[in-house]
Amino acid sequence: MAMFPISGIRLAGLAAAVPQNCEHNADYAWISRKERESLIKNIGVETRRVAPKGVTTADLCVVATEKLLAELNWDRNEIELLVFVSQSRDYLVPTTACIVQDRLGLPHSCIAYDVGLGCSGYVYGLSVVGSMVQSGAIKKALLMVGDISTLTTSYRDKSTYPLFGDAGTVTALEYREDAPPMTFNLQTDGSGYRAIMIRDGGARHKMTRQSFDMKKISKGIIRSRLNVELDGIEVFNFSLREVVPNIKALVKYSEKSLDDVDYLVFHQANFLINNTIRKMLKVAPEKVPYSIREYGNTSGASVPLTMVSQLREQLTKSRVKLLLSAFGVGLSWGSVLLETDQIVCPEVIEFGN
Amino acid sequence: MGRYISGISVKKIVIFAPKSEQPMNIDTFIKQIEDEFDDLKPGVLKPDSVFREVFEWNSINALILIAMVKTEYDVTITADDLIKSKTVNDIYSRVASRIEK
Repeated sequence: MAMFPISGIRLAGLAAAVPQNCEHNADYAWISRKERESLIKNIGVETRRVAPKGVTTADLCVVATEKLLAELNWDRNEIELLVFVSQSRDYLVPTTACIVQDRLGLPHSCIAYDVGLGCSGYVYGLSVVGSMVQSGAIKKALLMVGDISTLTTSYRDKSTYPLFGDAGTVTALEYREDAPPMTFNLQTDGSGYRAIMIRDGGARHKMTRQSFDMKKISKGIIRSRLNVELDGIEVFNFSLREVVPNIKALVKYSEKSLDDVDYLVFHQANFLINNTIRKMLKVAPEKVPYSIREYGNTSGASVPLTMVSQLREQLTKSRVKLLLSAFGVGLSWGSVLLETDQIVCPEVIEFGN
Repeated sequence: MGRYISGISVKKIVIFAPKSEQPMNIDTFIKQIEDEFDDLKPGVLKPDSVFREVFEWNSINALILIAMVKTEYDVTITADDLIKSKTVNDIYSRVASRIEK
């Protein structure tokens, strides 16, 4: 198993931005009222933020970064690494991170690249940035994680449309020799790649006229080959099978116990998945915060967005021991044990049109 | 006063514990399903009930059932299990056959 500690890296700050535009699942007319009630209660999504046309993940991340850098009082000339983790980049070519480097006025000495992961993106992103910073050669780095998932959902697909919301986040990380280690357990099972996918538009199946045809897949599911599709039962069983052993192995490897952890922050997949995982781990509900009711499943942004929207008070004022666990599209999953100490964390930013 | 005892080491600890606190039987299984679904009145569900007829069967209800069985029995119900099962007893048999003896 890919389990490893990374030392010498401190989480200095965290910010998240969401579109102002809010949709209520109670108004989702494609399904019956009873189905809507069941959806809100069990899947747990009441409202979702939906980006207006033309607003990208990078826009949300840039707004969050401007706010964070101002509060951190960082000199942007000292930022030498920018990693952008997303599945909704600005262009097919070039890499979004390069454009963002320029938009933020970061120096030419800054390394910038994208990582193409979704749900698991935050935990993976921390490991990527951490690995590059731990030598001490790079002192300050930015990790952007987010998605505009609503770009690819079909309104007439009840399995995806009412689930996803949009968000962009940024995490500021710095080299600090005495920082407590972050310990990771990262895993992959590509045999399940069909469980969450967009079929056309990539190199395997280029976009054709047929890609746009709306087809009825089953009751309540009509979509095209350019829409995201999600096999609910596959994803559900994958999450219940893999996440608990991944966390238990990490805790054992770190010679810790879940009792040592103040909060477990999960990828906001859906309430039923997360609550079942919590029960399987025998962890009290108070230790597991949720942002899914307000923001939906926000892909890779869901872990940092939950931290900002639900734990801001604790993160800014005290020392907090966290276990972050994220899992989904790929299939890709991972957990990290880490400690934060009075980080800079502005409130969730609302991005206007 | 504390004392040290030397020269003794624990070789092996054996713990016997039942897998689930309640034994697997169809009545318990039905009770557990009733607990999960609010609009299911107690006593309506029988072993030979066709579950798609007893309550509104949709993908969310399928997930609730899968979550319950995973939590209570550590058994995974697949999409294929659901397609091939008509009655409560059909599902029950599939779960029961997969519980570690």
